[in-house]
Amino acid sequence: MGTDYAHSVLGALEKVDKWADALPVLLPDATALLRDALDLMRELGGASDREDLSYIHQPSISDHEQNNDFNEWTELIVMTRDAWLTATDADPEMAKIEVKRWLGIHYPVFRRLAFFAAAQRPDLIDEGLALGSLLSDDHYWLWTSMTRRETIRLIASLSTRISPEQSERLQAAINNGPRPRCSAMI
Amino acid sequence: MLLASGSRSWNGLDEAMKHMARWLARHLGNSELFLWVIARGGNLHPQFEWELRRRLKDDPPSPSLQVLWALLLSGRVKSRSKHHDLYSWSDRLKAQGLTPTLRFELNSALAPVVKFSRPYRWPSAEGTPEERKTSVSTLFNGK
Repeated sequence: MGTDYAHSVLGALEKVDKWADALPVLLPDATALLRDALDLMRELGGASDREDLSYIHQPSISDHEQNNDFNEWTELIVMTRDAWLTATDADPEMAKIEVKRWLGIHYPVFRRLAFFAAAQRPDLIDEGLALGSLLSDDHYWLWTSMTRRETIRLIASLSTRISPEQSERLQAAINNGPRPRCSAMI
Repeated sequence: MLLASGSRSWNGLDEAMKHMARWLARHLGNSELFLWVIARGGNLHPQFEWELRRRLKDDPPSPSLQVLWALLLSGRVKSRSKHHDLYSWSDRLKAQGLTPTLRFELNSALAPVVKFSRPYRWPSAEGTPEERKTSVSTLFNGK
């Protein structure tokens, strides 16, 4: 980024009301900036539709002691997440639309954000959409280590609210195990 | 008179420097030129930039160097002139709330750029041409 201390400046704004008011407005910008970061990594061979370094640089989308500030770009993950969380109250419709937008951006970090959102606010994200995105791409996201933490939380959240048919679909996918293409990733 | 620097103020080039720009641009297939430009601050004299663009089109270097030059020419490489003061931005946000101008400024300050650094090498270890070539791909240091 054009600045070297985004983590400390934006971290210090956490409890500032005007920042909380600004965040929902900044949600589309945060998504676009994060996408730019991933596109740059793709240009340099460091990211693809199915792989990126987010699971190493930012092991958890929710706050976690394993997350650190060593890589400036991870502040964009935090900002996107926080912008979305504030938008769920300020403008729930926009928050829902943004999750659909994330699902259309082909990098694991956006899939992680979508899984996080679906587990965090089941009232906003339809379980059919959540389950569909989990089992899409030949069940890749169910098994890959790229999204594992958020995948497991989403499964835990879905297990309490999906219909018997949906539950059967999920169990069948789990029982079938990873497809040969995915097994190398585990 | 500079061909690459950390600031964006430029004077016209005299004939000797124009030749120098043309001569240097002929070496864009050499990663040392790219590293030299980055070390000088990453901003190019418009005339030198024009020479580089022309050369990239007429006589493209290796695919990896093409990507690196393209990133530099599109402003996606960290340069010393594009430093943003986020502390001042944060003070103004606290005072005014988010204004369109503050939104533009934040977008520019947080725009991802690539940071390059020269890989460390023992002074005696020059490496074979092949080793020197592969080191280019390991320069990426994250953002």
